[in-house]
Amino acid sequence: MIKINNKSQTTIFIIIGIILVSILGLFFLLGGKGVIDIGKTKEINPNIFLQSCIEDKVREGIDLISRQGGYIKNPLNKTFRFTGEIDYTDISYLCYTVNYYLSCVNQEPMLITHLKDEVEKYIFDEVDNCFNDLVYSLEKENYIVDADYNGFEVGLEPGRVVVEIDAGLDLTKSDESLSIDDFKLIIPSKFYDLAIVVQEIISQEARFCHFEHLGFMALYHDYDIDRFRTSDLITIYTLKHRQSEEMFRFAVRACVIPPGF
Amino acid sequence: MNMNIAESYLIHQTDEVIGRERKIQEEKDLIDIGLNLLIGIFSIKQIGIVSAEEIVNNTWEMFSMNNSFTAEFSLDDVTWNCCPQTINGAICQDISSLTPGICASEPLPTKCENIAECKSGCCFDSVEGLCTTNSPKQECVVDGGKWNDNAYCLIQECQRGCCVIGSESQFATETRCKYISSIYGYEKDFRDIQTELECILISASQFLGACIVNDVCSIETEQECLSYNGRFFQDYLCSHPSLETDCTKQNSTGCYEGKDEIYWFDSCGNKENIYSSDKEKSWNNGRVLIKENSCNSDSSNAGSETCGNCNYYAGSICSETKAEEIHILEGNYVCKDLKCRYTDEWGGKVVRENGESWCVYDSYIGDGKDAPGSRHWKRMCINGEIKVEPCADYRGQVCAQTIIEEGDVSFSMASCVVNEAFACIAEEGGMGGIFGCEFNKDCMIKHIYIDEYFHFDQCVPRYPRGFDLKEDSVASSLCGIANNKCTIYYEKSFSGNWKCIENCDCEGASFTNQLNDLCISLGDCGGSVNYLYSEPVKGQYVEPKEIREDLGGTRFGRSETYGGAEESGLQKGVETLGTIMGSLAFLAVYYKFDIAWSLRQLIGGMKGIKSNINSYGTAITCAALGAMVGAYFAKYLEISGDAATAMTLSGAAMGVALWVAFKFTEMGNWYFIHYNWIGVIIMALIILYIWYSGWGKTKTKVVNFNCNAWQAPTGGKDCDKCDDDVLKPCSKYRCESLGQACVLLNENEENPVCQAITYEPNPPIISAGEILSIGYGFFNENNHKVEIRKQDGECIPEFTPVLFTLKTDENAQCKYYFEKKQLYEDFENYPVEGTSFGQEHSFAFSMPSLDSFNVYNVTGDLKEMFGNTNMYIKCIDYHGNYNLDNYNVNFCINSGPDLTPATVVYSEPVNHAFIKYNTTEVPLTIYVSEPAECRLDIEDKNYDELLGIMECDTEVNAVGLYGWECNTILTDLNSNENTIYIRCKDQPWKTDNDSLRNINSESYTLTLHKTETPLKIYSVSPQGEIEAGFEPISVELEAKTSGGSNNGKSTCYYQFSETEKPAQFFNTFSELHTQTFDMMSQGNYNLLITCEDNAGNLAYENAIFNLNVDSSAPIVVRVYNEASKLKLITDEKAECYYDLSRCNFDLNNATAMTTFASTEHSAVWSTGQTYYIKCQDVWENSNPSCAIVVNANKLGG
Repeated sequence: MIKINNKSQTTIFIIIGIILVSILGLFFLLGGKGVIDIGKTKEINPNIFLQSCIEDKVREGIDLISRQGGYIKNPLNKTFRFTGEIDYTDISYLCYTVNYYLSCVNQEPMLITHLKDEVEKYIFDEVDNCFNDLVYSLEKENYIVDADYNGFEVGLEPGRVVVEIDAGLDLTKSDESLSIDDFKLIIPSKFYDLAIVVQEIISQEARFCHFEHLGFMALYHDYDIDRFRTSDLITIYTLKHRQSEEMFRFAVRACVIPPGF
Repeated sequence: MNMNIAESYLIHQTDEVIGRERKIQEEKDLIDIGLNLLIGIFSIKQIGIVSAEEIVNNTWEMFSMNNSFTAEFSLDDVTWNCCPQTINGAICQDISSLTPGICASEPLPTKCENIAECKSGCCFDSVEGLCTTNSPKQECVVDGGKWNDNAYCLIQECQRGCCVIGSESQFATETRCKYISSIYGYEKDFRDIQTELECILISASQFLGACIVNDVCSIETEQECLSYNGRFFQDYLCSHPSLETDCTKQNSTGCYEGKDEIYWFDSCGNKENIYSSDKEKSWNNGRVLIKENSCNSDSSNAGSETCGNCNYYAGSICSETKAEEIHILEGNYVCKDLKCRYTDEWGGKVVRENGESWCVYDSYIGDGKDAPGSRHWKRMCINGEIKVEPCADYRGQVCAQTIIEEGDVSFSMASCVVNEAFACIAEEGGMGGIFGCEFNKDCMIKHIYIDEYFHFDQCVPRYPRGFDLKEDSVASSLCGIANNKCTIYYEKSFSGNWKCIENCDCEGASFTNQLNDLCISLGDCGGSVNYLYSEPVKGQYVEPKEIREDLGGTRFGRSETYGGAEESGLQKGVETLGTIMGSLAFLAVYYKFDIAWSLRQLIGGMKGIKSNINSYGTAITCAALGAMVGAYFAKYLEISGDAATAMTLSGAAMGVALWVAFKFTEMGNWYFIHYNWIGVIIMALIILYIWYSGWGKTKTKVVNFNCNAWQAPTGGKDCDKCDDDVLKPCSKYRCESLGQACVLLNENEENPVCQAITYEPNPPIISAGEILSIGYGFFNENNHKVEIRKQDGECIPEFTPVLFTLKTDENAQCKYYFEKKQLYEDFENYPVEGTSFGQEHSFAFSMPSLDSFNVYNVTGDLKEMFGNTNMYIKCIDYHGNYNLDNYNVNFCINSGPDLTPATVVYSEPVNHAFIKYNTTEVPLTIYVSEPAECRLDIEDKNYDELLGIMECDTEVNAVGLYGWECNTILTDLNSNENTIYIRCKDQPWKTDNDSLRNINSESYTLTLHKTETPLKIYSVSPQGEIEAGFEPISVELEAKTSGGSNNGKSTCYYQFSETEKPAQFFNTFSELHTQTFDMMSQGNYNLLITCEDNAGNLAYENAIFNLNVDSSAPIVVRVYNEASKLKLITDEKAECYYDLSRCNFDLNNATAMTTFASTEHSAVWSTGQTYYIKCQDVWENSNPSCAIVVNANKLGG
């Protein structure tokens, strides 16, 4: 992958902006929503429609879940604010012991499965709504739509988040019909890659009360790991993927050494 | 000497003040005697609080840890329950009975390890191939994981190897390798490589080349290219002319994800070679140029404009720059220098390599002198930035540093490691005693040498732990371990002056200094300064410990090795008389024997040898008798030292003179008799002079050193200094150490702020609190005074502890004294809570009888004063305001006769304790409620008939931890159950009127049980040869004990070598003792196991074993045809599979030849068929290719 300099980036943004404005202009001109003219008939590209509809919500969800230690909401958290941040954040404990000196108990042993569930939970309504919007839009374009929506599944993979919608669309218009049942949205993200590192950190914390983050960073230059100890002896890890600048933050309460004896 | 905050600062700084402190102890006048008495006798700080010993004992039990720093709580009075979910949502938490109310549901009455749902194990994600340690079973299984009870995931599924995926590689489990490979569309390529670094380096060694798919060129590995059905041109760049692509060379520059260097990119966006301004060389004729052959490969090229061969390990990485910054000639990129440069605390310029870490300290470290509020810091150089990692606050961790040096290059590595300070205090009574101290680098032996008879060694923390400066309730008790008293002995000289003869240096500054150093080393105790006023020393750092050195390993106990007054001047004098006479006289003066009995024995003995003695012998005998009489007088007149010697010698001389007188009378030599009588008279006059002048009389003075919890200075002038250094963020502990008025704001923020609370000039208002002793109350309370009396208004009976509290309207520290004084600093004594600030202040007093004052010559008005005395109290707030008018607590001692006998409060050993196997003697210490003389016997009799006489502290001010101490050695404990009867006679000062002394009408009974069988370790495992499939090997050490004092119930320890500190088993305190080692390597081991029961019985055994790792695949040792079956024999138990076409087959999809792991394997014989056979042993070691290829045609039957 090429790392592009600032000047090039600005140029690209300008070009993208022009393209977007053009598309919007065409959109209003044609009076359609995610409906693209191909050939004689207007061929639907529901994936583009759904991608544009859902992606932001997915990103929003990933961002929230990453900042809050892998949860949308979790009562087992440490409220904290880092310098430069506006709000306090409830950072979840992924490994926790209520006692002093003891190693922590892993609170989410199947972290990847849990994160998938959390993302699904976060975008659940949005996917439903987007699909309904898609159907509505198609109907507005005089398609006879036979829609069959059975939910969706989120997949976390290296470098991307995949949303697979289990649905089918049978479209009929002017004696032409089209069936679509492949709704796979791919959102580039280092969410999974970060989660794998998180799981490794938790595993080592639970076992050794320690994670050698300096050694890890020496081997894996793409990651920046910051370990912060709060006044009440909680450890907060902040992982950053250097290139994408995506981050994941979580708390650990393990092997806490109290004051005195 | 009570070390308080203001004084302690001064004492730390100046010797003059030490002198002033010392002066307090000087005997000035009678008032001082009385006041010291009141302070020394009445203030019983131990009442109502947990003793230091108990705290440390308990602490130790709690801190019994294993290698991986998990703890087994085994306090008898703490029960552990499993909470499936706490109120805040934490699952599977062990909660103690000490922390009730945190569980969302009713806790289960056992530890979580005994609850199936909460048992910790390894959770294996069979899809992702990920393993997570310490995972509760239910949480794992519910989410689809496979759970195994090995909490550290030392199972085959979790063993990692190198997974090669295209040009990349990952150190992962085999399952994960399969999963990731499938995502990228590759075949699984899992290699048996043991280290992560080796694996990562594999990716760098992959051959790359141009891959053309549908006329589109990209740079891939051959495998990748083939997977795309592309044409692969190894070592070719896409811009190579022979490929005839549209990609033009060296179109742009940039960084590349996952790589350190700056690269050229062609016009299609494909990565080319490492950037060099020498374009031709870099393009390398359109062929791949490896890193080693690129520009300046032996340098980091940091900041180079011409070479982009950055090297992370040499300290540079590709980074984007701004246009105005230094960058390469063809793009805004540079090899960024990852070194860190800074100026250290001493002004030196320092350069650190990327990845280096080092320790930074706030104050002087080690020698037990870390300053309150100080913290250890680990700093790291990460990608050119200095980052900080604070070690656990309160010095729960110390920063250990090591420097690796190779030639001129040095590389520093630091680590925050657990400070085992508590183990040092626990060390003394544990296995190895104080000598165990040497094994722990966090401990040191403190040598206290004040005087010939006042010296001892104590194991103390090298890096004292910090206390919660506002809320630590045990701090003062813990500091109290360093409380000490020194008894100084004086003797009246011939000229009539008092002369110090023993422990004289206890009056000097050395006493205060040495004991204060001891006090400081225990924690935030004693006279010390906070971290702002203690400078770190350059080059001083904590040395790293051995890897396998674990925590603790011993029990707590404290051996006091004080030198006692074992040899007095009197004894020395008597010894000069010679062996026989001297020893008799010694015995006599010490009254160890009944003097009359001694004389009878002597005379009887003399009769027996009468025929052998000549007249000179008679003279010697008379001298001896005279010496004994002289010594007896010396004892009676409480004379010792030279005077006693003189009196003893005078007695001896008189004896000889009398013999001469009688002898010469027999001989009729009256001339000599005349002069002899003159001699006798002179001798008598000498004795009379000694008696009259008081020469040789002795007295004692007790100097106390009280070690109190350290307190921050009042006020808050230094609060903001906590925020001075961004690399040392402030914390609650640091902030509070700077001043009593300092508080930490925004604790839940990265950079909290330390601020002083708003100043107010009002002193604390003191008022009566609560009387904790039943039957007493406050009377006549007003703003400045309150009286304590019995509910009926009567005075307090003697030796009856009264506990009460006073309140202040704001947090304050209080002190009291029995004389009016103006300044807070002049008050000497702290309440029970010591130096802590709070709103409730506890006091405890026990009043001796007024009669006992006679011993100290306290009579008349003064005695009356003590009988109705005032305790003056001052309290100081955070800002240093204290009440100018003293608050008085008035109380009086019952002036009536003492009618209550002494009671035994505590004994060591305790009632129903066991004594060691084959032991018939045991030292006994009892503590009585008031000064008394005690006797004991094996039969219950009246006091006077009890034969055993105990040695008791009868001084009123000799009160110990539980009361007044009596000692003896019990002998002839031969029965299985030995009952001892003890009775005491109080008021030992009433020697002239014995009838007024109270004697126990009933005996205190103490039963000691004999250990009938020795403690035995009857089973130890492992032993012998042990096989494992991989390293590290998990081994469970197990010992079983029987016999001893409690049917085998004991505490066991293990040592890997005799020179190592014994470490306690993780599970012990029973008949079964287990310890798991998870990080064992193959090799021979001989572990020494020692078990000890509560009677002190010891048992030893060894666990001798050899750990072998079987990393080789099974070998086929025989193949044959039997009964139309192809039969195979392997050299070890295994499972064999065959495929009919190739060796490179997946075992899961092959035909099995074995039902269970066995050395015999079979398949149906099919003539003409070729069998490709692979085997896998129980450790899943399988043949990389085929174990054997069998052609059925060629094999005979």
